[in-house]
Amino acid sequence: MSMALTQPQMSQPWRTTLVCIALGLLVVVLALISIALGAVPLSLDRVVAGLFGGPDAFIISQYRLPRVVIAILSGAALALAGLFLQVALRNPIASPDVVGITKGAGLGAMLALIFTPPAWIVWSVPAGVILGAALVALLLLAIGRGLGGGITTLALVGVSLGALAQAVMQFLMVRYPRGIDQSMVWLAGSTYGSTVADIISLSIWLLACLPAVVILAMMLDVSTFGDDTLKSLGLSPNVVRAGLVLTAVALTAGAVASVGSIGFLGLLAPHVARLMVGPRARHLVPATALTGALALLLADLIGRLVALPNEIPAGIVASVIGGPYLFFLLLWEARRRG
Amino acid sequence: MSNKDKGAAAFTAAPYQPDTGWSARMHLRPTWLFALILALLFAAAVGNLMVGAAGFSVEQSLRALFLPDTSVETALIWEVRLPRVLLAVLVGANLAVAGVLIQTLTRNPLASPQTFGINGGAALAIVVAVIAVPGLSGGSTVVPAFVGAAVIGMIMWILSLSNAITPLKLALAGIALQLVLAAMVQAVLIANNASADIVYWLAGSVTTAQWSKVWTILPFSLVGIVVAIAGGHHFGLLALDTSTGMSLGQNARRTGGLASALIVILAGSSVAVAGPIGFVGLMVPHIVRTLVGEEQRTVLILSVAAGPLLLVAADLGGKLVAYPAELPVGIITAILGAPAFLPITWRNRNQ
Repeated sequence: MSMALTQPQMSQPWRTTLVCIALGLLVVVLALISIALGAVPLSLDRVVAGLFGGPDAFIISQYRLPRVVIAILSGAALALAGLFLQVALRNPIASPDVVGITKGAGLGAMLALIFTPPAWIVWSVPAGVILGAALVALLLLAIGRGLGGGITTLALVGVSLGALAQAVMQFLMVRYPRGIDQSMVWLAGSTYGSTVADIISLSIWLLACLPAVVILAMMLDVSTFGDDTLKSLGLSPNVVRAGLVLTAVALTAGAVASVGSIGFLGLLAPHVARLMVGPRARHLVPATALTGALALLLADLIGRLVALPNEIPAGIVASVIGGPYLFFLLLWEARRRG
Repeated sequence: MSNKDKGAAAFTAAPYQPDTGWSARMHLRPTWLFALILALLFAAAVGNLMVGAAGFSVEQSLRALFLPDTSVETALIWEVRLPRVLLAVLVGANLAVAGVLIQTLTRNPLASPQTFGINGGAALAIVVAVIAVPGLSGGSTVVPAFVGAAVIGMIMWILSLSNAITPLKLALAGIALQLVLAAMVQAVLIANNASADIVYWLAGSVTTAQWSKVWTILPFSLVGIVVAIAGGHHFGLLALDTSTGMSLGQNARRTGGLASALIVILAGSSVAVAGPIGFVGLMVPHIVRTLVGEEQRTVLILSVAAGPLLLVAADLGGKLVAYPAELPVGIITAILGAPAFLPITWRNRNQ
């Protein structure tokens, strides 16, 4: 907060605009590269031609473009979910994966996949994802409140809930091998096999979340001045907090239903965005979304290239990069306080 | 389960008394408890001998075990099921003792070979070594396991010396480290088209047990456990702060170094034969301490029995719950252990 006050007020919107434009350009460039590279490498002009109906239109529109779009949308959703959780729980190390929400969503999806009739799966899997994510969030808040938790306690509760969900998922994989391929994707997190239908359903879901994101972004700027400021404006801090958690759950559910449980991205992206545009929410929200999209695109690209001809799921790449960040974040925080 | 019930009963029967240390009564209870755990362990082990693709009766299993002949039962029990039970016993004992030592050494109730990334370090080193050196297999995997465990153990030990880092925060950092190591193991495996049995090993499993694996881990278990119990009182003093320990004639550095080496040997050798099995090293010391108090040597001795009981029972559960499929024992310990994490966090929330 003091940071925001000492910075020149006028330059901030310009800076944010510039950062967002730069991030947006990077996303586009990376998306084009990502479309160009693959089992059949395409030159950039063939990619551009293919996007507008050239000879490579089939491979691009059916295989490569869906992956890229899904990565962008899911990355943005996970990053925003991380931001909202960090604000709502007042916890810099909160994010949908650290607190176990992504694993809960994956478990819900698996249960739906295994135990509902095949004809229902179109509806039951999204419902399972949402219920799983919401259940973990509820448990987390209930247990966290019971524990009277500091930030580390809450994170440890989330980690153990996530570990439990993961163990149950592994159990289900051995017990009911029928859905094992899809389950592996939910466990590791990957954009592999995304389709146009996935894009449509994820877009509809995220569009439905968008009003909540915008309203919360406006409220957050008020809430950084403290609960009293919120109250004086007639807003209950608990309602705002509940809205943040709910929206984070909805965003996470959408992302997990498309790409599985991708770790550490929701933790990392808000921090990077905060470094670039400062703490004000109306700047932070777009920058975080773009950073998340960029991060997942990058993780996906690295995973595809680093071990050719094999493909390492983006979730694993994200963990290898993001995990050390959490490690050092904790130590740095400890040193700063100690 | 019944173990826990008995423990609760013992609590109500014998109200808390001041720690007089050497009174006969204080020693009686751990002795009875030890006998009870051993009895339960024997029952779980016999259960494990009975259950499998071909089910045996109690009588069949015991006859094949104690009066071996040329029958199919004897062959199956002596070549497949007995090594598996013994492997679970040794791995359980190793992890439990390593858990007690690491919790004492770092004065961190959430420390364990798993939560501090030591299992993960050993697993990563093994996977890399097996892929880099094609001939490497069997007993020689303990070498990379020790190296990996030692590197991660060293990092976490140095961090634990800092007073600025609270125990909970250090545990969380260790878990982050463990997640990274696990992700790296997965990445290495996928990049090299690893076979499915490595993936099974990775979940933590004693399914592929053979006598050779038992012989691989046995010397390390024996040395590690005997030294840990013999030096139990010294390790107990590590829980005190350094100056108090020194005034009691404790060479903190030497004892700490010995404890670290023991942790690496015990955890590393169990990862080499059974993969990274989690939560045993975390839960068992806490359960044992709740039952018998803090006296280090008692805790160590009881953990040597309770660790195997947990793992053998979990393995039996893994065979039964998905019959005729089998669940890696590491999944069962995770399902049991993840909820057990909460009360331990609860007790230490104010630190």
